[in-house]
Amino acid sequence: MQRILDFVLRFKEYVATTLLTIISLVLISSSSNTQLRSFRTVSVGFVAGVQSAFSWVPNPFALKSENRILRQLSRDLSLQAIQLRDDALKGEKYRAMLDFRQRSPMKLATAEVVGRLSIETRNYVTLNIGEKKGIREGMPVMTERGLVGRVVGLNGNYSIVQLLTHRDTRVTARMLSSRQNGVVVWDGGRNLVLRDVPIGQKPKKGDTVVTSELSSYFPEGIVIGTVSVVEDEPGTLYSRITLTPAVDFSTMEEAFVVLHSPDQERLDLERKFMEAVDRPTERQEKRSR
Amino acid sequence: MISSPVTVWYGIVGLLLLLIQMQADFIAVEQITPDLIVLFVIYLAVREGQFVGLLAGFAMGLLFDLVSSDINGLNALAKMLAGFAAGFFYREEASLQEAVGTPRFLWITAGASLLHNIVYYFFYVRPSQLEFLPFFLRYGLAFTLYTTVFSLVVMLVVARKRVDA
Repeated sequence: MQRILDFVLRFKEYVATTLLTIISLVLISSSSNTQLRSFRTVSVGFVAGVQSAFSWVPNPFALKSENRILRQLSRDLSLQAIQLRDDALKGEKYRAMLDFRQRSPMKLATAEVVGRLSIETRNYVTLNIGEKKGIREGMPVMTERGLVGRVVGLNGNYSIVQLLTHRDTRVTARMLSSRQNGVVVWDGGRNLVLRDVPIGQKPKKGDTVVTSELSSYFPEGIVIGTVSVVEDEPGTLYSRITLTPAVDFSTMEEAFVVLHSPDQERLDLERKFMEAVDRPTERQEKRSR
Repeated sequence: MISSPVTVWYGIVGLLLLLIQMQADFIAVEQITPDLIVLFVIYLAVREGQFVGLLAGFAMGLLFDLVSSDINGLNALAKMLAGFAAGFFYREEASLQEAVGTPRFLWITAGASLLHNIVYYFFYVRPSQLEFLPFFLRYGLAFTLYTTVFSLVVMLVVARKRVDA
């Protein structure tokens, strides 16, 4: 016995290590012991209290990391907010378009603007629908806000639309209030001009101008714009009426093609007549030279 | 043999370190904190001997297991073995400055802490699908390194005392 005690005392470190290792391994293998768990519950509660009391102590490394995460979060949220705002605007626009399409007596084909083309003072947009969807040359294009222009070229899947902001645009239009007719042209900038309205017919600012029933290409009653400036054209008996277009051509993303083909017979007749009228004029000009 | 007042003093320091270790987030770098308990155990082992070191390691490790929701007995085993390993470098005749105030203390800490983390992560990953080696290389070495860096502070403080003296 004495020998054993001597041995234990002599190698107490090894004996203790062996014993404590065994105890540790037993504890590791029985870590789900109920009594230990209840003690742990109490101790964790105590430690949580201590941690809470010391939670004001700042960690500079954690703060740096937290700042980085918060900055990233802020960026992500900003992007999300922009996306949501964009989606909301799109949703609103689509609702308005859908509503317009349901209410409109005209047959409409919905299209997306997939391209823009600007050659000097000739402005066009490309739509993602063409002949396969029943689109034909000359068909009017509009949005729920008003007239955009007309189809001037197309293939199976795409259409080119000549905008109102095009130097060759001529639209027979009328004042909604007075029913006075005139011709809408582009002023070369952001606005349109209603010409050939006699001076006596003074429209008011804000009056609406729509397509006329006299138009060869467009159905009657499509909004073109509103009167913004009225002035007399010097040396003529006509007023120069500046219009703010109903459609913002620069931000337009979707449009309707009105499935309305102009009367080809009428167009041919008008063209022939114009040519016949122009020819003697040209002859006279040559003679006078 | 350690005198009673010193034992009480060590006890108080040990408990304080336990509390600080529970709240060591303020010195955490990428979630890695220095193991102050193992550092204290190593200090005790090189200062007071292997037997004291391993007993202190077991006691503090067990207490830490209980309050930290870790696997019961895991810290007790790892810290006890760290104390046991560090105890081999105990020299009875060495003063505090000689035992702790030289770079030797850093090597002892690095070695004992490495052993501690090998044992700890070996058992830690066992119940999970984690592989020991990648996990140890990622965390075990980082904990070892940070603990060793902290031991530098202890070494420098003790070494400074020697210069002052």
